[in-house]
Amino acid sequence: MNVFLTIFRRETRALFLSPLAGVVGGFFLLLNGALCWFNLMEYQRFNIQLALSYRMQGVEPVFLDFNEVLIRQSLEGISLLILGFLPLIGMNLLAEERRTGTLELLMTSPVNEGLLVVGKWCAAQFYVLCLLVAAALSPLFLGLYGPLHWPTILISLLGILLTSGAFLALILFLGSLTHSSIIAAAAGFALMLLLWIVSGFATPGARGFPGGFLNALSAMRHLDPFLRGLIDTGDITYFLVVTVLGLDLTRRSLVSLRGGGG
Amino acid sequence: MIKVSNLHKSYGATLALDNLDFEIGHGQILGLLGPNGAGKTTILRILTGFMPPDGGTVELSGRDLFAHGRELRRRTGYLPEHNPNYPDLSVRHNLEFQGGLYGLHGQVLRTACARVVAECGLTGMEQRAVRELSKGFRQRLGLAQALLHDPDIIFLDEPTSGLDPVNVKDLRELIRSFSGRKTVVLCTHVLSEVESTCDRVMILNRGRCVLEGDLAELSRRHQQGSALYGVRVSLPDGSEPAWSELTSVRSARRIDESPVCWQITMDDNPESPAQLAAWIQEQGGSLYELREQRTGLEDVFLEVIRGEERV
Repeated sequence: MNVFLTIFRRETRALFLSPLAGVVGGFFLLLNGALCWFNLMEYQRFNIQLALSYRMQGVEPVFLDFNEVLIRQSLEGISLLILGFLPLIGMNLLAEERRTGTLELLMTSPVNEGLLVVGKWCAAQFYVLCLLVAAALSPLFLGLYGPLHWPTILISLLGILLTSGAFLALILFLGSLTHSSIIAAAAGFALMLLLWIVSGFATPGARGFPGGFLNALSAMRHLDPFLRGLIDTGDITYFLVVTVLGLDLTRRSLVSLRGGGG
Repeated sequence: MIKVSNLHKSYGATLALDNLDFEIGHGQILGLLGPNGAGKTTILRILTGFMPPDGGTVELSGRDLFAHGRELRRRTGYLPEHNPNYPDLSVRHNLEFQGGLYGLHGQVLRTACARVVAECGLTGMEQRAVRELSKGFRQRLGLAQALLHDPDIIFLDEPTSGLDPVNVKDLRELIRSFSGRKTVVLCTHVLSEVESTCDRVMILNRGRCVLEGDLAELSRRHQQGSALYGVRVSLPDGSEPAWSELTSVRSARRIDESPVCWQITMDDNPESPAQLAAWIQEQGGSLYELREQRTGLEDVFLEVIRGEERV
């Protein structure tokens, strides 16, 4: 436990104090704020048009649902933004250690490779969680304009956190294969994009191979129910399996550096 | 303490280690010498468990390194060649992180940190970020990290590289102080470092051990029944002495001018110097200086490596 905390603390410090983390966090929150403002303006404009249209027809106006439209759009925006920034958050976790040689210090210590990988992953997830909490303030601020549906918001944030955990594990694995943070980030982004859009190659609702398989592989398809406030054990299992797979591949990659020795 | 048998390693078509065998006893300091690419760093990386060999066995304290890696790594300290550490952390945080990896925490960790800070001359530097430290202090920090958990076996790869003479002297004294207490493998290009800190030396070339032994023994073995003399001499007509006329002289080379200084290798016989002086007198020459020279590690190293290249 002490070793885990040592690694977690060191990684958290590196993530929160590095200039890159500052730039990533700053840009993320700036874009998120801008996106929220844009969504609010669009929501207002659409509702005014709708009200005018109803008024002209002499009917009592019905407005777009506040939670269904505005809050959901804001949470979707957060999910897309955070996924876009994930490669920048995860790229240095192992690739930088390889580049600077500090991996030699870690690998010649008695530390367990699994603990090392989980410690790094937890620190990155903690950073993402902090970003999420900060970003969630924008939709919460929109609560001034209408009643918030809290369960949907919390389930959405859980879905985004599960998605980021799965993708961070994959980026961590890619970072363990290269000395270059840029290559780790680019490969991570490409893999995430592929998992995001893979269902686009299949007919919606298709079953069997390949359509059903491609739909099952799609991270977007598994995140979407969370953003609608639905929890499905199948979706949770998907993200947990990808996370465990990514972390175990990373551990194996580190073990192979030592030639499989304990 | 350390027993290496049949160790070999290749990087693609390049042979880095070629069936290497050696043993180091407890408390000994072994210097690994060799030209660039001789395989010194590869040996350290294998002995520290960072890199697997292609074949062979390594035993530390009688236990197989590859079967009991984690347990044995707890007993070794390592200063890698480029001394990597985290520049964004302070000296204290680097030490605490390293200690944490070895399972040290609480009062034990604080005591260990205080010990190595004092031992490695880092007092007053604990709060400084590593990126603000000079090369010398970074190297001291690397050594402090290697010593933090009080290991039995220490591997040092070019520990004095880039240090000023004062730092070099301090560091060598510190390494020398481990003799008899800890087993140290020191990898370096600097021959004087091995002479001043090591009990034994192993010269590597192209992944093979070409010479191994304690320093005095190597010097004797290299001389092979001969003795080396420095002679300053001048003949009346300014000609060069015909050294071959003296049967006890094995070789001679001129190393300085006015008066001409020669380095003469003669039979290791107590009468050889007297014969040499008498012969110069017979030639009508003047002998300004005649002194026996010890064969240094540099002579041994150059002779061995050049001999290898000729082969």
